[in-house]
Amino acid sequence: MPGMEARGDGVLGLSLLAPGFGAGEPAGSSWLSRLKAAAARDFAAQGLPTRRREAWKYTDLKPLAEIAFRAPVADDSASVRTLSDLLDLPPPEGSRLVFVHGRYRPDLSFCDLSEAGVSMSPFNAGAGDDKALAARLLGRIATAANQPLVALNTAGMEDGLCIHVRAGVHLQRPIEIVSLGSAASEPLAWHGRTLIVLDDGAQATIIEHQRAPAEMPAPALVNAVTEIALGAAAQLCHYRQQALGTTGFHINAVAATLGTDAVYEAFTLTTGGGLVRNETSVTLDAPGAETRLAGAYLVDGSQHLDTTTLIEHRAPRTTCREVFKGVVDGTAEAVFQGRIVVQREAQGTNADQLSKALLLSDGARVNQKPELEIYADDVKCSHGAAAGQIDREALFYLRSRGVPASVAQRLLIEGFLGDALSQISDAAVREAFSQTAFAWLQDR
Amino acid sequence: MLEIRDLHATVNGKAILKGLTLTVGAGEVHAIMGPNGAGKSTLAYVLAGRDGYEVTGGDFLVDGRSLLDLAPEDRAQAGLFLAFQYPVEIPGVSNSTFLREAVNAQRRSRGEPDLDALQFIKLARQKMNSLGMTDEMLKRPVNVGFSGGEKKRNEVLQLAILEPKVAVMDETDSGLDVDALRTVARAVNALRAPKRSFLMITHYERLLEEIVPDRVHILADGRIVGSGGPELAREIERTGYAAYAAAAA
Repeated sequence: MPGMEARGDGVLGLSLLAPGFGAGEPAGSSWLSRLKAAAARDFAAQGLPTRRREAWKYTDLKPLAEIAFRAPVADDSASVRTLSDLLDLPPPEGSRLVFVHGRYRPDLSFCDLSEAGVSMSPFNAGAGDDKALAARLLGRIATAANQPLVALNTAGMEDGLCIHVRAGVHLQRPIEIVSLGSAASEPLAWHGRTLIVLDDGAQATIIEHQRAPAEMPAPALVNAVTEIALGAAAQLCHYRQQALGTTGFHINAVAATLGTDAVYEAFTLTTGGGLVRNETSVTLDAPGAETRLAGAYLVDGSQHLDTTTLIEHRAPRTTCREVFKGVVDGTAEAVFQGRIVVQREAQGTNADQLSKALLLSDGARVNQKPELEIYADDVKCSHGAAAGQIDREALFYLRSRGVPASVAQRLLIEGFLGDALSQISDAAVREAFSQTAFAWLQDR
Repeated sequence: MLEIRDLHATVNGKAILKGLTLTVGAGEVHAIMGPNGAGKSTLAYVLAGRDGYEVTGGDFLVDGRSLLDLAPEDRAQAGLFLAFQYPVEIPGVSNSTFLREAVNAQRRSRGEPDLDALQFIKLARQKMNSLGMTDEMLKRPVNVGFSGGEKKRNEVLQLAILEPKVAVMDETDSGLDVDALRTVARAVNALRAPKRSFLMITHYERLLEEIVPDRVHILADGRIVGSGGPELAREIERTGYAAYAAAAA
């Protein structure tokens, strides 16, 4: 393996800022172009993170710097011919917003306008108050400073998507966001950006599907950022399914800030991607705020899956519960970094973190780093991280009843993942995600 | 029926079974008693095909067919059942999923169609009634949080559903109070059938008061050192194993 040190100039990956990535282009709105230009400067100063940064200790982005990515061409219809296959989803219950290479595709999307009190629009095209909302919040929840990939996303993002649910509105049907990549012959990089705002008392469910063909002729970099602001007593269920081709780099950052008694529930199911980083940071900013973060991953081959969470308790009586479970086969590698910070004013905090990995082969690896940083005295915190193999006693027990070894193994893995999947409070999503996970097990 | 012929087995290179021979006829219940370390549980695991139990000589047959070279699941499909002394807890896998997979795996091996969820529940309910088990025990993860009595009843439920030709019951009485023991024994007695053989492995005689065997064998140092009728169990209860252990040495 080549050395870990950065190039001579000390900044990795500057080519990612090449023209065509939006940096410095007139963006049609002064606040947005200023934001993008500042982010481009931020990225140029920071470059891609190296493993010397603590937050990136276990995930090496150096291979990214060696690929000459280019920005996708608008409406690249030749390379999106396989889209219909990738869109093999059941008909949407509500709105389905489809993005190809980070660009909104109205022709593939369906906007359910029957529900009042919700708007979905690009940052610059929304009604007056949505535009103001984007101008006020964008880049404030996920900040470019000290987060080079967020800086890169901000510099390179296209139209973006702002979802705004007005106060007291309870959306009856989920909003689906489908992000597609295609089998392009050149390495492409794109930077999807989403802002989700739920005003006081609003409730919504958002389901994201991130897809690309299993076999991709050239590597792709998907560098997505989602910013979430929840008002008092707002509730968001945010479910993501990632099935990117194994030559893909998928960097995903979610940053959420929660108001009084707000609830943010998130679940991420990852089966695809060559190198995947799922980073979630939640700030529990007001009393009674609660977050439930969970996820399941199933990786094999030489996949690398990094789950990084940062929960900051900044107000009294705030709660977090994290449950992550993963299955690692082949020579795949999983990373779990879970940091929980309880600030002095966050008395009465409840924090609970669990991360377990099941290693199915000798070559499979997992690195886990749970971290608790507690400055308050009245808190209940627990964390557990474990890695293990299939329980041989249980396997024998099942086989002694006539269950073939392969089926017995699958049952045990399903049981192992069940803990995480059961965190999904939406029954239909829980069922669908379980099916996807179990299908992966069937196919191995 | 079960035929064990001059069976030798080692665990971690140590000889535990040293020429065990035993035949349990169709419809018969035999008991194997013996002191700790005689090789009782080893016999159970060797028959079921557990990893780490190496057969170094002899053979055993169910219904005239040698099962020695078969994987554990194939032995079960051939009609062998082991009721575990310590049933294994399997978090995350519901009892009903487990039981349905097991019964359908065995049906498939016989070329029969799978039971669907409804047919399975009907079958399970009918068998559970006789064991005093509730539906709720089907929903719970396999043996997780079950009391000692519930675990053993769950073993007998599997026996009732899978209907094996040969059932090896390893220390079915351990961890049971008197009432639970009676319930389990009643259920086992109800499962006695002309085409089913039972091998009860036990340390104490009290189980054999409830499930009266046709024959009792004393296992010491890896061999059968004495056989008799049910009265042999009562004699052991009075005099202990010392005489047999000495004879085996």
